[in-house]
Amino acid sequence: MGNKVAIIGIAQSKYVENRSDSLAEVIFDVCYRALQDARLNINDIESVTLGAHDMVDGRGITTMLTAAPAGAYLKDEIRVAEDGAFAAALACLRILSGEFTNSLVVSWSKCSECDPGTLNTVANLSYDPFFYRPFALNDVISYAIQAQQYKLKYGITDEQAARVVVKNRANALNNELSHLKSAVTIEDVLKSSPSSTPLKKLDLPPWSDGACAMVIANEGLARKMKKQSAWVKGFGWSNDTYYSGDKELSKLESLSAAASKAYKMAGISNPSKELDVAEIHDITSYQELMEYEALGFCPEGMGGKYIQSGATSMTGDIPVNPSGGCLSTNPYTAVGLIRVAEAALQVTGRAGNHQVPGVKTALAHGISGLSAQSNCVFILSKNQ
Amino acid sequence: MARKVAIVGTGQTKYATKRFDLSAPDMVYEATSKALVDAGLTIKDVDAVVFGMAPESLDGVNSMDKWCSTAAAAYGKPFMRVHTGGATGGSTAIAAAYHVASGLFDVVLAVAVERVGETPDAQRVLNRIYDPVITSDFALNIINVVAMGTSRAMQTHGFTEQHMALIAVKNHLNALNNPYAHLQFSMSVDDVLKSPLVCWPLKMGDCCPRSDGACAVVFAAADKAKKIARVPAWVNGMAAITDINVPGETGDSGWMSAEAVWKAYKMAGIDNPRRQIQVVECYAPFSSMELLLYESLKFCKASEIARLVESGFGEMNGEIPFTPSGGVMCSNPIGATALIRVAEAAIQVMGKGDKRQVPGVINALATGSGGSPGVGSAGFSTAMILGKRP
Repeated sequence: MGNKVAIIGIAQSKYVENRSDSLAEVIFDVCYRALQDARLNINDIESVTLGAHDMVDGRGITTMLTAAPAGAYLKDEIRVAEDGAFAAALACLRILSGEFTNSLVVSWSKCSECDPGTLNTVANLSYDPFFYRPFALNDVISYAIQAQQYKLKYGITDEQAARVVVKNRANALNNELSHLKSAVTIEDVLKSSPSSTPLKKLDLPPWSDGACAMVIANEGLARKMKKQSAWVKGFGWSNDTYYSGDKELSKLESLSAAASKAYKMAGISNPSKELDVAEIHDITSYQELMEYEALGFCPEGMGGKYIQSGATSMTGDIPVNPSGGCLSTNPYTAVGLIRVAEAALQVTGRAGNHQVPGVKTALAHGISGLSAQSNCVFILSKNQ
Repeated sequence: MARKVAIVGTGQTKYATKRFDLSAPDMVYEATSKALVDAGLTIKDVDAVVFGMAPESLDGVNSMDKWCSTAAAAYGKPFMRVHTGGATGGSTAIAAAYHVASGLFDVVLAVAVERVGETPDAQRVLNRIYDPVITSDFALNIINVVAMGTSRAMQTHGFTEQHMALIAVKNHLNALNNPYAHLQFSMSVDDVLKSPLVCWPLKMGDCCPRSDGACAVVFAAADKAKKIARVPAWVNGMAAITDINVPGETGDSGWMSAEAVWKAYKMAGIDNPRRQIQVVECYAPFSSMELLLYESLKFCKASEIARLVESGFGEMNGEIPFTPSGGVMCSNPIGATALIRVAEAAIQVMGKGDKRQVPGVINALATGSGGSPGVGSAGFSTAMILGKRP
């Protein structure tokens, strides 16, 4: 399918801890600008595909109030209650079906609407009421358990994980939209307050407000946009078991499955050689290391050594998260869509100060669900 | 569409106020297994799964799709959850059909579930769908919003509480033929008119129950569909249109948009629905919503609604039977409800309706509605037209 779908317009909000404008205003702004970027009018849009969670937006059906600013009035609109990367995947399917020439894809979160700590309760309520919820599990704890098992199994050190934070926070300094814009040292990370062993405060992302929108289009429209089109060469997503006790926590099997589908579609056999940059969902520092392995950037158990080698730094073989990633900017549901947007900016040479030189092929990744249960991977290319 | 898609199997649980015997994943497992058995497929044949579930605050588990995913045959497979309020099941079916139509998947399951029985007060939860700054404070919920729209439509469309009662009587009678239906008792017009007032003009007899239940539908690509099913139900038209109604800002905020149905008609080449469609599984949780569809689905003019109801237009032996299953008025597991419409429409096309089968079905229409009709914010509507011929 490599030549049929492309991202032709992108807009992101500035990401901050607490935006004073309403969620509707944040959404309208990015949609308006994404259309401008794609040189389209709202009347040209044939379908709208949204990624949003009621549980984060604090609404019964969030799109009752957010579909309008997302341009869905009298449009063919479907919302997925998943990370925004999954909305992008559904949009691609809709275009491939031949029914639509384009889709406006939007995802957002205004985490500031929750009191501090409430989001952990929201996550706890995602666990089943019988077995897991009484353990007071939440997303942070679920990632901590994974990190701990990964750490013990392969001898990964906290210092190696801290390097992920140092790298991504330094990269964020070059991204004007980033929420956290301050460099940290390995020592800062190691000495930051404990959260859930082995994760410390700086191993975890902030909670951010913001939104991301993009126009995905078919070949005809994308050709008109020439160099601004980021071609979707491959995409795949997969789902693991919900029960943490039923899976090998030190491996991200649904990410491996998603990546292998996307690689196969894109004809990629050696990802570390063929990819020029990756924007991945670094929901924790440890998670980024595990993702290197699941994506096949390095062999199993070598994530720690891989970051140490500098391969994923801005000047390495595959710079990972030049934008600063989720560890610098975390509007919950929108994180995966932002990764797709950033990868598209990289392949079209529009990433500004955090542009990696000479990018031809980029990978983007988004997570949905606790302990990274579902994962979605996109491969984008500069060339059709 | 680039690739023709058909429904080749369906599965449903028995709907009830509260399924004490089954958890949410148990219900999902039951519906999924039944759908696979119906299609003669195994879990290995499933390439991807689309899951539907409406407001999680009804179920009390956030992102319950993740908990249910293995039961929905989605372990190690592409899986995503769709949520468009009451239209969720319709959007789920449509998203699943796009999975197949894209050419990337051959067999895709649409599965939806809701446990409305978990919530002590569904209407209080549904108050939270309205704008928190302006509308929510008016204590709006689905019942009083529909009541307002109904009283307005009684003025403009010239029907009475008796006409609404006739619809309720018909649906309850139909439900007796559907083994999955939640409410299974017959009512007379008098019973409906004398049932307790909920919010004028809606009486208890005009309203749907709140149900637990799950539904699953198997979609397949053309070449596979022909091998899997003796009579596949071909997806000839589909749409999921979002309408926005802001009180005071939109001229006609009277009722739910039928744009999705009109778009689906166009896709399916239906220009005279009254002649071309033989059965309708519509999303009408309240009696008044069903009778208004006679007009918006383009079966008649507004002024003809009352007469058509009196003539028994939508009854089992009427001109075009509406909801032979008993419809939403007799079973309403919210997130699954619109998928049940798709399943029941497919059953009619495939000729598997047993006691509720309408004879000679060539085209069946399934609709879905979500959000809020009339007052406030977005309304989501879905439509799928299934046919005996591709």
